[in-house]
Amino acid sequence: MAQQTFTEAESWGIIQEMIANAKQEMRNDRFYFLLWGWLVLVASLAHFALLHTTYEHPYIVWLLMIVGAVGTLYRSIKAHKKHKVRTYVDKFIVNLWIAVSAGIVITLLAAGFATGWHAAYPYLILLYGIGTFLSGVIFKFKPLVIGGSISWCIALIAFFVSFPVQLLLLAFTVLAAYLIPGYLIKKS
Amino acid sequence: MSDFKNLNPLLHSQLRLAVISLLVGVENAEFTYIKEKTGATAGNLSVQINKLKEADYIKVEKSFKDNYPLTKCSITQKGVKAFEEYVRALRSYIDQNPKND
Repeated sequence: MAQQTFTEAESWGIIQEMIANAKQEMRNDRFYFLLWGWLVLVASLAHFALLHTTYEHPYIVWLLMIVGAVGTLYRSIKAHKKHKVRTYVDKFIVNLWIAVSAGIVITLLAAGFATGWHAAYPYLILLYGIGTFLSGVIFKFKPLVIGGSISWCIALIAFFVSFPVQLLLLAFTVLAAYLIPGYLIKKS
Repeated sequence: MSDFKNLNPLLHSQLRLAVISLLVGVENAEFTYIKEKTGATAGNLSVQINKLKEADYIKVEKSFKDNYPLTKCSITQKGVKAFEEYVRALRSYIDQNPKND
């Protein structure tokens, strides 16, 4: 780039070009939505199906979440090494999902030791909704905003239904909040 | 025209303005990223980054990644302020000279 002499219009051009260059791309996040979307969908439907059998430990399917945790950890470490730039959106998204994960872990611990599983699911769905809604707002990506809003409606309904129905509601939540927006991310 | 001449000379340089505009929207960026986005040569970019660093407009951190030197740049509060003032001065110049494209 030449130095010194350039016009005010060129100044604007440079500023606009560079700001556009540093614009956040959300394609990288598609992986996480699809990974967790599929895992939770399969686990919740399998749990529901196993409730209708004589199998004594239907909740065992939730061990699938270990795959999600390992996959997320591996992928984020790899991405961290690869990324040459860290935007404020990156920072916000990482911390948002840390906050949501903390909420999920606390809710699960409370369910296991105090409140019981039936009390936990509406809160889990509510937390999914918060993460999805805010991700959608910060990326200006409507399917996530809609998915998050749907999760909140489902969370409210989940307080009034039986545990097996909560499992179906959870499956529907991840379909609306993770999987459908996840598959739409690439096209946007 | 005088307003235009009063633009901060440190920022009124194509490459330095590009670097600051790039950094203003991010938390930090690696040297190679800035080089890629501005299309500048490594030598020229180093010189301009040093000038911005000496003015305390940016912070430069040097470390190692996989045994290779890694340079990370981030904008300082002083840099953000200087950039805002530059944009304000530029806008007032354009407002005063609407036909001067």
